Amino acid sequence: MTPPYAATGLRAPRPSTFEEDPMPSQERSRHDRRDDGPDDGADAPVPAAPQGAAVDSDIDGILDEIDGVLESNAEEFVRGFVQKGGQ
Amino acid sequence: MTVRRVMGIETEYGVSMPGVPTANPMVLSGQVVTAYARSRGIRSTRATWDYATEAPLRDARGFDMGRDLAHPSQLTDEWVLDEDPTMANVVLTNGARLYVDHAHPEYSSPEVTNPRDAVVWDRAGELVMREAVGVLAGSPPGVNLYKNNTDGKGSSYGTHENYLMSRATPFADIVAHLTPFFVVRQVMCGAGRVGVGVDSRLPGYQVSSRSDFFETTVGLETTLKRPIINTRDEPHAVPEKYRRLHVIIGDANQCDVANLLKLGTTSLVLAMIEDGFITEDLSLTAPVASLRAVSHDPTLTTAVELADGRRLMALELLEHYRDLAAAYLDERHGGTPDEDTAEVMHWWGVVLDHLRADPMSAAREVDWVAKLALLEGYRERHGLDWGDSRLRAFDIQWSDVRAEKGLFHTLAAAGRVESLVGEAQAADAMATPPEDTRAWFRGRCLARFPEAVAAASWDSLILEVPGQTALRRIPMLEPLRGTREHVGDIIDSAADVNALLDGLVATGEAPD
Repeated sequence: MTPPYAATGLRAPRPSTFEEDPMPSQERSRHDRRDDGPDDGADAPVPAAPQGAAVDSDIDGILDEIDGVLESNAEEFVRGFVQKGGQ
Repeated sequence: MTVRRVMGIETEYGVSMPGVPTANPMVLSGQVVTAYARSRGIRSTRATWDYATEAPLRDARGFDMGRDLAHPSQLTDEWVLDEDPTMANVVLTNGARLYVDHAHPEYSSPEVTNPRDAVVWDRAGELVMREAVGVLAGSPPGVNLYKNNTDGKGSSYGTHENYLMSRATPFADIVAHLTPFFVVRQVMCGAGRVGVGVDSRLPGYQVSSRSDFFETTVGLETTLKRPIINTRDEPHAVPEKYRRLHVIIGDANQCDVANLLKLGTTSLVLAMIEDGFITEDLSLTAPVASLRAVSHDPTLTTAVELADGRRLMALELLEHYRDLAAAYLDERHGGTPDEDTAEVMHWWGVVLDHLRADPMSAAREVDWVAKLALLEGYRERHGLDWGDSRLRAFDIQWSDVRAEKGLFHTLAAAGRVESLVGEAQAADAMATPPEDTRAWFRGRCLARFPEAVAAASWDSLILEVPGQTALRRIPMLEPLRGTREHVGDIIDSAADVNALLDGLVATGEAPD
């Protein structure tokens, strides 16, 4: 099958912003971590939602549906979802 | 090369018996495999797996791990095939393998030649699991399956990608140029996760479901001390010519676009590595810490530090890889790539532009964004903190394979997710193999002569021929042979398995 946009081909490469420093210095502290061991989350920041995460109005219908199908006893459902590690 | 190469996706599904958290997951997984096999008339005592050429301890860096040093879970070639349901293992007529891997049912897709087909046969796998759940629902409480990668309590299970590469490419080049890419690609193909830390000890939301579980940069293991670059060297093909790159760092995707990009952009980066196109050193000072830091920041403002001192946002590094790929395609392919490559480059641009403008604007294309947008709506409606168990329940149920229970499917049914593969096409791929790889031979032989196939593997088929005492092993070490073009007519026109063998030998498709 041919996707409808196949004819659009490649986008022109954009100039790289590589030389710029994108980060204010106060954002850097979270990188000063040791590079070993699985993450237990102990020193991770509580993440914030991105700007613009506000709910759009027509999502209400979906949320109604979710309220209808979501497991009623969330705590028990979460507690019961226990998996063995895999690959 | 372009995005086109032999590839495939393996997915271990989360498995649970509702209300019975102590149920043995190996037994449940065996029931899943057996239920599907029976419902499709596949006899699991036939079509079993031929382990003769498997070598899970072969390391791409050029040595074998001693068997006595290996964790028992790494000895994937030693399983005894018998009536034990926890060893259930079947080959499907679409060329896929459906079996119990450790404590999870796994669907390993057939070999395909492009990212779009990888999505098609991965979606077929979701429908295989959905059908199994439907069959088992007939015996309450049934078994539920989840296309996710963690229970949020410390356990993780994998979604692996496989890419056939040239053996001539030095492995060190792959490590050098692929590692930074793998650290940042999660922002366009992460599945999202409620909870931070392997056991979700901090409340919150992160980009990838797998990132917290990676502990090292390069290694052979897949079940412990998981590496960003896995060195398993089992090509399942002519070993002198090919390497199969076994990628264990990806999340299970439900969004078609994110899934397409995961396979397509990785294939393009591999093409650039094989062609020696990337000369710049993009290596990171602390890949594992950066992997987690990027995952822990859904605002995408966190920077990663390159070895040369530059600090870049994940998105910027990803844009750089995209620009490199565009330049590579211009230079090597005259800017007019095939339609598969055009499709990947199109979506790569769209998704990066959306993420750049406002991460939430990628909600139609990227799993973690789609899930977060819905979670934020749910949080606002009910006034929930990130630590609320309803949000963790939401996260688990997001990946429920059932159409009427899976929250992703609720969102998709409302037309709020970009769909690249129609439901009918995915359903057709449950029983039909891809035409352009050896999966055609494997799957079609099983469909036409199920009684005669004694065992199969990725690179062999063992036939039991009436009147002959010895089994006939047909090697399939070239993934691009055994296609419909090569063997389609022979399989279709053979009246029986003797005629099939005669036809294969006469055309040189099988040794005399």
